[in-house]
Parts: sequence; structure tokens; C-alpha cells
Amino acid sequence: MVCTPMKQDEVKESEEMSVTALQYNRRGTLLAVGYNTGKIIIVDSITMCILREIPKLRSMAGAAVVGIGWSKDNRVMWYFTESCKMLRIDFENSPFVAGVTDLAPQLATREKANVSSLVSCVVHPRFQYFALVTSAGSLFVLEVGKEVKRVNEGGDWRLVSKLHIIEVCVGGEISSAVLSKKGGQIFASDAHSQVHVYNYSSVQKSAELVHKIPVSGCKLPLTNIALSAETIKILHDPVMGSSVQFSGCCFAGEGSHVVGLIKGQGGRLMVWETETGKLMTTLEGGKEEEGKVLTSNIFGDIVVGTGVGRCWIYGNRGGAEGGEGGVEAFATNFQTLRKNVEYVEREDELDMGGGGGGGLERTGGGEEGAEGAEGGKAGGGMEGEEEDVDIITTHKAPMFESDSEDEEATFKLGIDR
Amino acid sequence: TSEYIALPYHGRHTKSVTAVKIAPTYANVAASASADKTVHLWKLPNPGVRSPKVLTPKLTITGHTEGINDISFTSDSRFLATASDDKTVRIWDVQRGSASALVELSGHTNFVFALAFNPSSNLLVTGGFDEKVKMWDPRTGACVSTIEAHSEAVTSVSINQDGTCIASSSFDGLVRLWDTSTCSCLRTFYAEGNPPVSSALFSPNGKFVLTGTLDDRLRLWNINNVSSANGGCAKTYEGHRNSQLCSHPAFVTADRSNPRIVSGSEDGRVHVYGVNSRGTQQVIEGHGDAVLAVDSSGQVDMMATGGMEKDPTVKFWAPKSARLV
Repeated sequence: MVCTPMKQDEVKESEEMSVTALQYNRRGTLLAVGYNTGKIIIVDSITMCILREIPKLRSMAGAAVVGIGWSKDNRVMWYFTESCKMLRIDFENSPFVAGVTDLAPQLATREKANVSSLVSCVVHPRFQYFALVTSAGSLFVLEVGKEVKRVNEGGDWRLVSKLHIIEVCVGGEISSAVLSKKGGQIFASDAHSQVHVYNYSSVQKSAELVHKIPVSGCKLPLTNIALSAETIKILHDPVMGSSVQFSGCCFAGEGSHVVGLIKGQGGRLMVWETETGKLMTTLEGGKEEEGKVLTSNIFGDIVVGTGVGRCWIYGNRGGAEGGEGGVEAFATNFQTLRKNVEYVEREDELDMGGGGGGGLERTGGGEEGAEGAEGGKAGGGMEGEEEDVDIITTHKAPMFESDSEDEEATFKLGIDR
Repeated sequence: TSEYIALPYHGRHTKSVTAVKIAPTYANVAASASADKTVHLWKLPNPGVRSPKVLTPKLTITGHTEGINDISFTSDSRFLATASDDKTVRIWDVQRGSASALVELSGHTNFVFALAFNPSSNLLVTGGFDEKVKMWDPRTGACVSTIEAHSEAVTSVSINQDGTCIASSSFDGLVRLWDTSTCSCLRTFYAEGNPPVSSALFSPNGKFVLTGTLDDRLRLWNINNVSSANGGCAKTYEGHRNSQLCSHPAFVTADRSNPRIVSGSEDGRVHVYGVNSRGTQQVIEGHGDAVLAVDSSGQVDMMATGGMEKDPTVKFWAPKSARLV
């Protein structure tokens, strides 16, 4: 996987801006970037152009964006701020901000604190709930439902949003959380190198701790976790070893690679192959303080949001060596040679009419000896063309049909060394 | 009752009709482009309603300084892109009927001959006589990528149903498939004898590419089987005349049980082929001059055709059973 920096965010307004949240939409075509100032920009993944800029609300000046979630049809977006505000953006209507909900009083009450602030937020794939992590290390599940309610005394019945907060873990030194593919399980990392696994039940509206897994051999607080179905190996810098710390990680290429964001080295990334644990490449960043890392499962891009408000997007553009994009794709008469292999010329290679040299290879398929009737009414006789073809039926891509798949086993508990 | 007959009205241009497209979401709306530098938008009368024989265009788009070669609707039929010999591509809001183009895309150094929106309509792909395929962001007008695609003029571009792959055809005899996100070439294929390719069109499910070549043939290629070993040509259709001009065929899929291919012919006829039978199901005496522009509605069984200089009309066809007559 060859990745080079492609383009950087041009919306750098001031030195105080830093990227605090990144989220692709379900199809990977739109990237939402949230900033510490409360602003969000929407970037088109294909064209890399900024499509929309959602300004910070005056009432929330200085409240960083900590989590973003997209609806299935890309028409609605939710985002959470550090000040425990939940905002709903409706792109179909103007003004965009369709609603602001203040969660601070409810969270503070549950934490028995004067004030709460959010560190991160993860959105359930089908928007059944949001998993919120606070600065006090608590983990909450926020459900947003609807109920019919009489708004005013003697007034009309209206459908209103109803919030239901579940306390999952209060004061547990939780630092980050991720959800399983269908949202049935919540995985939270803590400051004691443990991963807490909670089963979420939408019926009982509860989240029950089922596992507490120590990450063996790790004495440092966990900063970030990502999920895959495969056994996890220990991945590290083979040269510097444990002296290199990571501030973020994620899977890339549908789990085939792991990307680690190195702490304190200006956005440097390391990319390992998941199956073998082999370090594939190291990507140089923009020499800026790093913030967040995210990958697109659709296009394989890696996004690093930095502490100065830029986004570095690494993509595999311009064609890879060999295979797709190689010489064979351009000219079917040619073959890409492996590196460091000496090409041995055949004796008759350049002979006119000999094997492999000169002329175009026949690719018309089945036409030799065919007799098409004058006027083409019969149209028969073409060898190899009798088999029926289906030009209409489309098979849906499984990655967009996750609701129909069974919840897979998320990971094994053992760690291979 | 399944044979196509002419609907009792038609549209008219002053010069050759180069492209005809039926709106994706409105079966009674069609657009036609012409060498007379205009695009007409036609709203077809409801069945049973008396209408004049010669339709008045609902909207006429002017602005290009040279003839227009191709047009493409966005998926919601709201916007229309036009490719012109004046080397520009323009995007128009046909729903509002604005007099001037919303965006003008400049970058091709020769005639822009073909274009297509991707299904999400956030990417526009164009091909030109400068031998390049370009990708544009239609909202900003920025050129996202330029591909040195061929060694001769690009005659056609098509995008598959999920927007991941682009097909381009050229007078150099090659058809190439490109990855939309990486711009890498995925496949190159050509027919025996390397005849110039006048059109390339993805099938509705994106598994096949229909090419028209200047050897009077249409070929349906299975893109997963295309290789030098077995060719990958699943079907060949012949009977029409196409040896000099760029004619663009279309799939007829309104009747899913009988998918067909429709192609114009340089003798003024329109040929309808069965996709699997490869046989000619109908030959329509369509126009008084070569027919280069055809399109079919995806919603109802209806076709539109456009004729060249001597008969620059836009005609509409439907089977009696469709009850559009």
C-alpha cells in the first residue's frame, strides 16, 4: 500500500485551530472534519473539494467538536461538542442547525459533579444510541427516541424527541470507546491498560459489563482502540521499540492493515500488515502536532487531522506497481516484469509472424468463421455467443448491507507474540 | 403490439441532432443537443391529449459558441451538462430554466465530445478530441483529474452504476476501463482488426460494456472476462450501418423480460436488437438521414431518436402496448 500526501485542508483560519473529530459517511464519499472552535467542514472524498462549512454557533464559542455521526442518506448529521451539546444538522433545509440539546445538566448530575465535558462520542451504525465518554472518565449511552407529548397545557399533541441516558461506567477512567459492527457491544479502554466490554440491550435499555480484558504486556494507559475480527498482534516500531508511543490507531483496507499515529513526531504514521504484523511503511506527516487519524473503508484513504487545523489525506492514487494499473492494463500484449529479474529475450521474439512479436492479438472472440446474415435478421452463428447474459440484475455490495449480517465474533482474547 | 411506432409529435432543430437524452426521473421529459449550438428541452404531451405535431421546446439552452456534441442529466434530472466544440462544458439548471450556465468547465484543448455524470452526480467525466479524459467537480468547476487516456480522439465516456469505473472509447480502436478514485487503467480491450470505436456504454448492472465500432458492429463485452486469452466479447450485433460517424446506442430495459439494444444507422434506420438473441427484432424507418442519437427511457418503454442534417428532427417511439400513442 503506497500512500503519499495528497491535499491538505485549506481552511486554516488561525494558528489556534486544531482538528478534533473526523468521520466518513457510510459510503465513504463525504468526510466531516470537526475543529476545536466548533466549526465543521464537509469534504468530498473523490474530488477533495470542500462542499460545506458549518460555522460554530455563537452560543458555543470555543466548544470543540468531539464526535460526528452521519445518517444513512447523508441528509442529517449529528455532532457533539466538548460542552456536552448535541446538535442536529439537516442539510436539506436552511438554516442547517435543526436542533441543539444540552446534555450537561444530566451528565453532571450523574457524575455528581458541577460540570461535565465530553471527550469523545461514537455513533451507533443504525442510530440507536450514542456512546459518550466524559473528561471524568465516565461512559454513558444516550438514546434519542420519539414520544407523543402534549407540548403546552391544552395544546396539540406533537412528536418530540426524548432522551434516555444510561450510565454504563461512572468515574471508571475511560479514555475512549468504540462499538461493534452492529452496535451490540461497546468496547472502552481505560487508564489501566484494560478494555471493558459491555453488552448493550435495546430492549432492557441497559449496558452490562461482560468482560474486562487486560492488555497484557502493556503498562501505559490505552489511548485508542479499533476493532477487527482477527487476532491482534503486537505492533510496534521494530527499531525504536517501546520508546515510540502512539496517540491513535485504526484499521485500514477492511482490516488488512493497521495504521498507528505516532505521538509527538509531527503526524508520522506507521502502517503494519495485520496478518503478519510486518511493518509495511512509515508515512511522513506535515511536521505538525498530531490530532486524529481515520481511514476510509471504501477508498482506503488515511486522514490525519492535525493540531493546526490541517488534514493530511494519504491515498493510493496514481496506480500501484503491477496488477491493476500496471502495464498489462494498458497493453494486453505486454507483461510487467518483477523487479530485479533479468529479462531473457527469446530467439524468435522479434521475428515477423513469430510467437509473441508484432501485430495485435486477436481479442474479438468467436467471430472467426461466423456468418452474419445480410440485414442481420438471424444474427446467429457466432461461436461462443450463445450463452445468455444478464445486463440488468445488480448485486448489492455486502458492506452496505451490514444490517443483514450476523454479528461476528469480534476478537480473540489471546495475543500472539 | 410490441413493435415500436412513432408518437404523433416530434421536435425540430436547424442542424444535425447530435445527442438525445430522456430524463432519468421524468419519462415525459427529453433533451436534444444539436450542431446548431442549442439544446432543446421537450415535455411530451400526455397520452390522449391533443398536441401539435411539431413540439415547442419547453426550454432552449443557448450560450455555447459552437455546436454541442453530448449532454448528460444528473440523477435527479435537475441539472444538464453540455459538451461543445467550443472546448467548454457547461452545466445548466433546467428545472429553474436559468438563461445562463451555472458553471463553465474549461480545460480541454480541443472539442469536448462526450460526457457523463456519475450516479451520485458529484463527478462529471468528459472526453475530448485532445485525447484526454477529465474528471470535474461540477459544484466548483474544478478539474479533479486528467487522464492521458488514448492516442486519438476520445469518442465516448460512460460510468458504471456505482460510480467506481469509467469506460472510454477512442478512434485509436481501444476501449479502456479506469478506476474512478485512483485513475489507474484497469483494462484495455479492442476488437479484431482494431476498428475505431465510436461508443462505449456500461450495462445497467455495470458488468458489461457495449461498444460500437466503425465496422458496422456492436459488441457486448463482459468486463470480468476481458483478456487477451479469451477475448471477453459476449455478444455481437450487426445489421446496422456505422462506418463513418459516431453513433451512440442505448440499452432498452423498461421491459426487464426482454432487454434490448437500440442503435441508429447511417442509412436513417433505427435497429432494435435482442440482447441475448442478437437478432434484429425491428428495423424502424426512422429518419431521412443518418441517426446518431438514440436514447431509451428506464421507466417506460419509449425511445427517442435524432437525425442528421437532412432530417434534424427528434422523434419519439413507443409500442402500442405502452399506451403512449
